[in-house]
Amino acid sequence: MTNSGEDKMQFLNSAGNFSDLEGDLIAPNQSNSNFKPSTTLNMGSNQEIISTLDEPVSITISRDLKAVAYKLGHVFFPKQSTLLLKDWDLWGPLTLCVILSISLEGNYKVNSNAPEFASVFALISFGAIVVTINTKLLSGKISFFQSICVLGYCLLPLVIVAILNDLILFITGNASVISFGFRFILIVVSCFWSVFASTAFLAADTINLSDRKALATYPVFLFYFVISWLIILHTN
Amino acid sequence: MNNIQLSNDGSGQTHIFTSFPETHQDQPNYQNIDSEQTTSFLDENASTEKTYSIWQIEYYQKYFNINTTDFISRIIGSMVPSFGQNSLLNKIRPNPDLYGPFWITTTLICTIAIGGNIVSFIQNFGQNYTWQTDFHKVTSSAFTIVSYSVIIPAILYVIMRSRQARTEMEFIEILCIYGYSLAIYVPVSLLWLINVSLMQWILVIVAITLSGSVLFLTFWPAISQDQNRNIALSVMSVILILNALLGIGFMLFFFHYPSPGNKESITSSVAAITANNTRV
Repeated sequence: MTNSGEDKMQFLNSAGNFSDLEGDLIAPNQSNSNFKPSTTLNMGSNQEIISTLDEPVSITISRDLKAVAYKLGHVFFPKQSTLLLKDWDLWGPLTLCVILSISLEGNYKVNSNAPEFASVFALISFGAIVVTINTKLLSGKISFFQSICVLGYCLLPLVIVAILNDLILFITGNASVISFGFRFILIVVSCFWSVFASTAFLAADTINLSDRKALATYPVFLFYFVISWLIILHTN
Repeated sequence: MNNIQLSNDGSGQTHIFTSFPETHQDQPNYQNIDSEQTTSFLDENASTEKTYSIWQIEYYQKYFNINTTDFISRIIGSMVPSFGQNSLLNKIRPNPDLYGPFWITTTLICTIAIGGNIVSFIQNFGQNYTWQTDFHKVTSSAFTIVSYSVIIPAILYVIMRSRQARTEMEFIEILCIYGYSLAIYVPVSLLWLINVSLMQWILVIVAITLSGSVLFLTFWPAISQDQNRNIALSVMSVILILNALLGIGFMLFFFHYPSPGNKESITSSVAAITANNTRV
């Protein structure tokens, strides 16, 4: 017997729809008359729509590289922009993850327990997936790949420090206390920078975590902490 | 269905109901229509909650429905044994979460593996021996902690389910309590880095006492419902003994080996452990 209520609701809705329809009915007519020539012109010119097929490969690659580099710049200046969330890509995270895995790869000549390429790669990717699922479970409004993209791009400070770490080790050797202290400070700073940059995106007010920001931030911290631990343990 | 139409007709009644909502609980016979209406709304809410299937991520959001202050109070409740209103069971009872158990066990795996490596790193620093990270520590600590915090709650649940007519606790609650009871070992495993044998033993005894008493206070009221007193006592003592073994095992296995992967040092460390045992 909810009919009476539903009828009322339908009537209200339809009344609302009529005003919308009026607008819609007028708009297509105008657009049809006014914009038809322009759309056919666009189709004829072939510049805007099929442009990526005709251009040289170098331009395509350079444009994508520029997009990746532009996003990497945002990691160093996390000014609460939503660029990494808006158009996410996985090229940047993949590249950074591969670079980090190569730089942390152990020495096979010594029979060691150091991590291999595959284990570092798997640790980073599974860690990012677990942190993302955690954010989703805390009912954060973010899509799966957006979060993976942010976590991957925010590896950049750690990647730079991992390469610096290799250079310092190459110059000074393993057993120097001063170089160890210098590496330690560098890694701590980069770890906190990574956490800071990623929380600027992941714990922003738009994600709607309200009183759970600390709960969502802690796994991110743990993720970057374990990676920076791997970097500081890396010896030549 | 009928109720809504009736309430639409008698709009004055619903007005009374909304203006004095507290009278509704006290006077069930006052307006049957209103009470029926509220139950129908409750049913609708329940049906919308059940629409998620097990494969959807929203299904599991009810196990992560805590905020930061809840989480902190639960962690404190897992470290400080207390009775009645402040007990850990009362804190987790409305909605047991899986956030705490998952991230506490993950943190503990990390701190124990990292701490074990730091201990061997400090002892090998500056020597000619090329020190390597021992990633088997991560594997073994992960295996121990995960099996402790999943298998034991499962066994305990089966025992309680089969021995008692009315189950006092759900599986998710036991899992939650076991996860939180590991929280005390996170700060303790960081303090174990101070490589003084007496200090380490004092810390392990404090940790075992605190987490063991929390486990006792939460599980004893449920387990003591068992008709056979001996079985109840033995189950409780097995829980406490396993907890003590876990704490002592962490300390001896991860924080007493001077250098992993070196056979001579392992034999010497075994000698050191036996010496420690005899000292204590």
